[in-house]
Amino acid sequence: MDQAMLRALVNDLTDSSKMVSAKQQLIASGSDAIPVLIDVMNHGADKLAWRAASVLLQINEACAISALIEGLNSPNIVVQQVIAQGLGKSDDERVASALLAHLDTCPITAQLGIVESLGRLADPRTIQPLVEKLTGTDSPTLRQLIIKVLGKIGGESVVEVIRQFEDDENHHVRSRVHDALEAIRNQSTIS
Amino acid sequence: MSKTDPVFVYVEDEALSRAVMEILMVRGLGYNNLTIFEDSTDFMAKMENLPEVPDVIFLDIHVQPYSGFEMLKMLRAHDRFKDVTVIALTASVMNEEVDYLRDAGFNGGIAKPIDQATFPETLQCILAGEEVWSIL
Repeated sequence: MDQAMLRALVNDLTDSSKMVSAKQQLIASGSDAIPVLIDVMNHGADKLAWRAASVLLQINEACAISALIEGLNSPNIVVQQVIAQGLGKSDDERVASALLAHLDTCPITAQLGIVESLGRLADPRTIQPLVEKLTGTDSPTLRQLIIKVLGKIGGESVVEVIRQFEDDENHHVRSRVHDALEAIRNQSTIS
Repeated sequence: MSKTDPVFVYVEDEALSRAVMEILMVRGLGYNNLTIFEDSTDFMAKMENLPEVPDVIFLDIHVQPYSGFEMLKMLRAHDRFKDVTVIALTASVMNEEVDYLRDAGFNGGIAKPIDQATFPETLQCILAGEEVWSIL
């Protein structure tokens, strides 16, 4: 498929009647579609750039992952958010380190996606940075998501940290503490 | 429901979740007609004050003082809002929660955090009147 056709497909990603088919064709095109998708992700308007990033995440090839990691620095918050959340589905070994490097520097709405991705990757190296983030953040939304992730990947080592938030003023956080401690108890029972 | 500028309401008591949704809907999708309530206090009074009946209402299930289930009940009992598409947003991922939501009368459910890569397609299905259950 030539570049003009690929670009036309990318433009169709924002047309509600064509978006599903365009996305499927671009994913099927694989590496051929990557250059135009990267260009649109980096230079397109919000809506189109977001959709291009979404397709790149699904193509999941090494050069797409490189561009997506770079996209964590994008000035476009919609792109940052979708990349932060989507990279957790990649098995590329560079991803966990890249996400950790952006945990404090991305806008806070993208930090949510990073935490979610780190939970999905379940890399033990992420436990300590997440504990530090948990104790340092003012955001109850971020707090409750980190607690959920630590409940999944942290094991016994994070029980005391999580317990510090048992009486948190936010009801979502308190609820997550309960769920996370139960998840850790269940893991201990199983093992 | 094929309006070019559909009307949305979102009830969410988590500030960051509100921010994410606003960025997706307004900046990402270009839908400017989004009203957000920061909790469910005086929910029906706020609904009655809206200039238009919304096309889609997103309700966080665990919001206070009224839960998503209680707000849905209020909407279904109100002549003006009884037929509106109401979508639950929930961080719970239990199978049985989907059954609860269905049985309660929600038109769909979306897991939180929202999957941003597929949200445009999900929303397209919702606007087309399809039931969407992206919980698990």
